[in-house]
Amino acid sequence: GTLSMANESYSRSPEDVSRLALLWGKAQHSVSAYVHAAVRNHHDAEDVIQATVTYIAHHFEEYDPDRPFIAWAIGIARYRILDHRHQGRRQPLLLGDEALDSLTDAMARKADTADDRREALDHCMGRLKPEHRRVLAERYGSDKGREEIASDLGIKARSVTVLLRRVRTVLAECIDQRMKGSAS
Amino acid sequence: MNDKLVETCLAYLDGDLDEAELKDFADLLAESDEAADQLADLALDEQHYRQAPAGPKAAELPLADALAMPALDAAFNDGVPTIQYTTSSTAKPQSQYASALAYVIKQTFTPKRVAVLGTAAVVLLGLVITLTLISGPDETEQITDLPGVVSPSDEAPVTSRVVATLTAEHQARWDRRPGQDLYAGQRFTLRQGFAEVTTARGASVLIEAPSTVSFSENDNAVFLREGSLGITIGDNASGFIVDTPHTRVVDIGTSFGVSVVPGTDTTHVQVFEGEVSIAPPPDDNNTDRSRTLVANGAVEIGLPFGVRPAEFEPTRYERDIAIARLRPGLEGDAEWAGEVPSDIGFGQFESVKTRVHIEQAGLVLGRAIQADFGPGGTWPLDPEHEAPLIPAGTRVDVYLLHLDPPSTEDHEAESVIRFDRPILGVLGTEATLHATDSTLGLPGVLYPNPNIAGAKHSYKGVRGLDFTDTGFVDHAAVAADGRTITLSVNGSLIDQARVLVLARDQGSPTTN
Repeated sequence: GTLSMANESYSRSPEDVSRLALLWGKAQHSVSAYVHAAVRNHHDAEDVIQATVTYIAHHFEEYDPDRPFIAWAIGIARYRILDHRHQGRRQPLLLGDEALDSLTDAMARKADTADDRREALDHCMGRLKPEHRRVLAERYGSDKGREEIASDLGIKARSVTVLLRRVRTVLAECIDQRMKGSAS
Repeated sequence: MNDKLVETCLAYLDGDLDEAELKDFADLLAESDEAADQLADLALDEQHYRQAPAGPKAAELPLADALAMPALDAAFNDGVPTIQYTTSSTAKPQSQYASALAYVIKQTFTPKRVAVLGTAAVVLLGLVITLTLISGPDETEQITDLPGVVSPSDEAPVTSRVVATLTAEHQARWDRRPGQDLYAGQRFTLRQGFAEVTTARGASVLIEAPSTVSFSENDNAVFLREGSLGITIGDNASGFIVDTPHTRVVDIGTSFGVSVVPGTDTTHVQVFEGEVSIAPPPDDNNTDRSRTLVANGAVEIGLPFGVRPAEFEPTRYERDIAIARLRPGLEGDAEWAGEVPSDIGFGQFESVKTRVHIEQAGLVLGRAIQADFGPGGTWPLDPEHEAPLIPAGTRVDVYLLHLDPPSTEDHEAESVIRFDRPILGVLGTEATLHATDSTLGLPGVLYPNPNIAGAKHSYKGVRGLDFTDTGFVDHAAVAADGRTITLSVNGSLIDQARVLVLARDQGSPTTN
């Protein structure tokens, strides 16, 4: 069916909507990771992701199905990040253009293995002690500051930083080993 | 892995680089694919943590000594002190971008258009549901008290986080019935029947009574105190964890069963598809590493033996509540074997027990079926018994009873099979079985029927209930109330009978 909106006109079939939902479902994790890596302020990152997904929904007809959708979506997110930089948001963008481009390319390269990595991470997290998973969830799932977590735990913020770094490093090593193992 | 690079990337992600360090790091990213790849990997990991569940509201939270984790093994295995965790967590803001996409598309489909395009409405509904799933489980408001919820002392405390949903039940009787939403740490006991629980990440956990379980605040884990679970893992639930008093089982595949065997202080694990990782018992000093169990494998875990092989039992774990709902009550030498397998011929499933299979559920008879005997009837056939004619249009569930003893020596199996709905008729002769394989049997199954073109099994005279002329005599009777069939079967080759029962479900039919 061809549908129109009051202020703009374009075609969108139910099949397209369904396809878009499926594609976005697969791309969401990588796009979100990419934006959060480039825009370190959580709320700004959420704004950028929302702008990205809005753009994708309105311009889906521009997507070339012969290209990987994730790379296309990340490319759109890159432009939304640059827009964000020019709008003087809460926190300035930390990376210059070249570094951002390099990260953009890297994230697109990782698209094919992102699911494998997530699966490996699930496995490795399963080996973590529950309290370590809990601190990770507090920091990233609840977006709590390190100071707040430290206050809750009655320890120094620096100790939270060290703990998180070590847990994440250990997980990265575990993932690395697991993915190498599955590749061999 | 380049530890220094990982450290620098994590410092960047944590916002801990000063201006000069940041410039250097940006230059490094611009120059080095390795650095960019490493940052991408860690960013992907961080996104995964971001979607992880929040912590408890208040709990005894043991915290690892930050300085005592120099190596991988230490991080996974070291002992940790306990400190008090005192404050409430901040609810994770619901992901907005999925709803943004849903919103934009919703704007695209005006209500009027949607009304015209029913198909589009269905797709839109599916889309919104899909996006809701994609965005992860909804956070629920923190609450301080959950009436009727027990917080087990040896498990995680109850939190307000909904980590699973009770999606189906069959003849379930609970100690204290949970609501549809299951909270992290909430322990519940299923005394009778089956319950299907679906976790926020999409793992399907079929609980078979008697069982006591609780779901972890990690929305991809369950603690099985006792009982039996049949688990099927969805795409997003990879890494699902089952903890028991004796082991930790981590999914690496798609389907497995775990049971804490009453009275034996052991856990039994069996894999149907994929793989699982199995940790040794906590106090086992002889086994220091987890091991992988692959499909069609089974082990027992406990002390003092650690982990030992066990016999794979294909029908031990129920994993589909639609099948479990069709399971009749069984006594004696009968065993529930679920859906009829693809090959039910001679020698395929040798057992000293009579296997009870479901062949068809909710089948609407396309023509009348003449049974060999029905309620009040017996085998050998009683000439005075009026065998029922089951009318066309009747909706039936079709069961196959199958006995194939391990050797060619005679074997006797005595069973009682109770249904909670009327038995309409029994087909016990080889002729009636052959005649109804194509209409009442499950399409694609290899039956021991020489009349089917290309049949693998062409034995004659080995099927159906035996009567005097064969030298063996089987006995069967359907009670007058029409709900119980008793069997005394003498098998040397194969004994089979087909039982037609009034269908449990009135859902969308299939016809023969």
